[in-house]
Amino acid sequence: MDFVCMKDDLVFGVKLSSYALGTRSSMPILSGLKMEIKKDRLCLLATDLERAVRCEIPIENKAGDEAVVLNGAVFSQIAARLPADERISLKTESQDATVVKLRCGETSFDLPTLPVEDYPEIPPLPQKKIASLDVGRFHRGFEQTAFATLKAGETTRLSLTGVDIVLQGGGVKMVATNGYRLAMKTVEAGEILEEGEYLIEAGVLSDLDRVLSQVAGKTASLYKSEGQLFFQIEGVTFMAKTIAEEFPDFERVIPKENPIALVFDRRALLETLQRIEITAAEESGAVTLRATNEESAVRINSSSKDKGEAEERVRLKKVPAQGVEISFKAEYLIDALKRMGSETVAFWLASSEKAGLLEPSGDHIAPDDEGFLYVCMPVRLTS
Amino acid sequence: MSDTSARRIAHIDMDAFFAAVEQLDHPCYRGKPVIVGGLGPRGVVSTASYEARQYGVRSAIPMSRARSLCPDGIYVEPRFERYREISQQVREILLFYTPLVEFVSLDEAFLDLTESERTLGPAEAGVAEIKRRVRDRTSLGCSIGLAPNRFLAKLASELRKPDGLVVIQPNEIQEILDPLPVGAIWGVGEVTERRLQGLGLRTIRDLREAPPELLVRELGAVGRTLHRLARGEDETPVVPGRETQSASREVTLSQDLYAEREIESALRPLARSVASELRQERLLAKVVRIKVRFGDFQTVTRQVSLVAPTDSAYLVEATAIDLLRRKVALEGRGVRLIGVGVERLSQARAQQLPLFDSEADSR
Repeated sequence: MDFVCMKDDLVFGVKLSSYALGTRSSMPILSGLKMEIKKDRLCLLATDLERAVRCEIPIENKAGDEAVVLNGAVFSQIAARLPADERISLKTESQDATVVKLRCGETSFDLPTLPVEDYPEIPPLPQKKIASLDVGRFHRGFEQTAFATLKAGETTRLSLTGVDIVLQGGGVKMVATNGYRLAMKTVEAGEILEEGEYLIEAGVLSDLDRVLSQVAGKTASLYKSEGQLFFQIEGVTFMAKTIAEEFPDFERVIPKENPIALVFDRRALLETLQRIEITAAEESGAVTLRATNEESAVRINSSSKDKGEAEERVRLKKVPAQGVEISFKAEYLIDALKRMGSETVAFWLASSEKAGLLEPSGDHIAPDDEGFLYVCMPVRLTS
Repeated sequence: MSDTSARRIAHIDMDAFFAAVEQLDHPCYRGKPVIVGGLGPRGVVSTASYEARQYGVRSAIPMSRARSLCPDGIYVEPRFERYREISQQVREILLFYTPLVEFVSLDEAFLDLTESERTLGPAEAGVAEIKRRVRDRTSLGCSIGLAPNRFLAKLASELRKPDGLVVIQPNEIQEILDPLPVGAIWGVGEVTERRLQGLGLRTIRDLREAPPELLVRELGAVGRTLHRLARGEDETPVVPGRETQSASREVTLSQDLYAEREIESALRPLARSVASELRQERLLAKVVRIKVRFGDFQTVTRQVSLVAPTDSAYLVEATAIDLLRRKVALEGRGVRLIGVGVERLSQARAQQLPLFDSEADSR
């Protein structure tokens, strides 16, 4: 191995692929970053078996095709601190490729390699493209849904740790739930060539989001294979393992005809909830909303034995059709309101033990809020 | 009192509580064998009246076995709400004597009367009065043990059931403990008892006189605890409001099961039954656990904390099944016993309702 490349290209490739570096001590080879040289391309590769990143950059190759594996953590630290020089060269020093010499300006590193034959096979990009997706829209979809999942360590229900990505008609639906609240975002897709549903762990999706946000391109192409979903954009491919579990039938739990609309100024409601949450009972975090069909206001209160009580009157944009009294875990409503940008939100309710539906409303829905809705189950309080 | 530094701990245990309440509410049941428990095909006896015990019916045996032992018994499903109501009446009486009351279950409590002796007089008179007041208020009998610690108090309450009142003074401890079988010690189950017998230790006296190093070597840290208990020593405090209630169901299978699907089918009704007890008792559980015992008696338990406390049969069942699928390596071994339990129970004052609450909602 002997090649020269632009420093910026290498730094970019190392940085992106390092998002997929493994940390499991049971498979030390996964802490390695694999470099595959093929003619005038260098392919940087990392995986923890849940996700993989492959990043191609151009090189000026001075020898044949070859593959080596370097310590990923060390390589990415070096990439982040290279001196100001345009070009960088990498070359195997010994005959058996056990050491790679990296030179950049006046700096040189001798890096030991890891056994390349131990490195797992990463599935190649499948032939058939299934969809293309706008990166910006994906990012908003991720931001407005992934928060609603459970952390992988918190549950035995794997389906609740993932975001369900549904490719259907002309749109992409992203849905996430922790079993008590559900966030859904529907965005237009560039094109959908094959419909399907893919459940991906929120942590993996978060790394995908970070990778996509650093690539200049605006549209990612999607490919699938058994158990994996691939996102390809310019020279970068992100492979995400799908969760082999059915996502709950979310369409059933989205209220369709809640008759009571509480129309709020989003920011006012958010700030009130953040105040009233302070005295909510520790176990439930519940705040109670009370509205009548006589005034355009909601009373929100909370109380707990040890922290005290709080009440606040929040203005509504119109008088609700019916009165209602309902309690929610404040955190669940705050989570959603914080991730919206619209001035006005409507909270559609039916009765004190039925799910509420929160969505952006009014004449000025923020473009980033289009297609967002949030379902939250109430807390049942008994004295 | 012979020793002024000794604690005065009482243990009160309602006699055949669930069955006694049924006899109280249904006069025609009185004097007859009454068996309270799950009446389904795989139900288990919760409580048997003293009349039923004469037929050999005990709590925790399968209902089918009870029916064959006592075919003419009166079999009823538990009414936890009613039991809770009476338990509350007892609680009010106990709290008159000391705030240090720890309810272990609906029918069992520990009291620390050490401090209240100064204001209310000797604990011996106190517990006698408690017995009388419980009888007056609820028309039910109870057995009480009074001793220097929890272990001995519980042991004392069991010595003369029903309607017993046993006081163990510090100077009587050894005399009372020594002749009892090791199995009388709190926490010594069948397995430990067999191991102790294997070491030639049959009575508490044998255990007390055994070298502690031997016990530690054979049983680990538990050995040290057992040696202390054999000497009648127990420092565990009475903690009011601890109420570490839990509910569980387990079943020993009529034959070892190998197929995952069959094991799951055995687990599901247990989970539903535990959830139904929660709803009847108006309690919510934060932790779900399962227990699997293999043909070779290796036993594993697995548990998980829920995001929000629940009494939903669907959630308890789905969680139990998930635990079995993801956390237990069956490896083709036969399963002889399976169980589901819930822990960290709280009153259902605030319940986060779930989005998906039925079979149909989860495809």
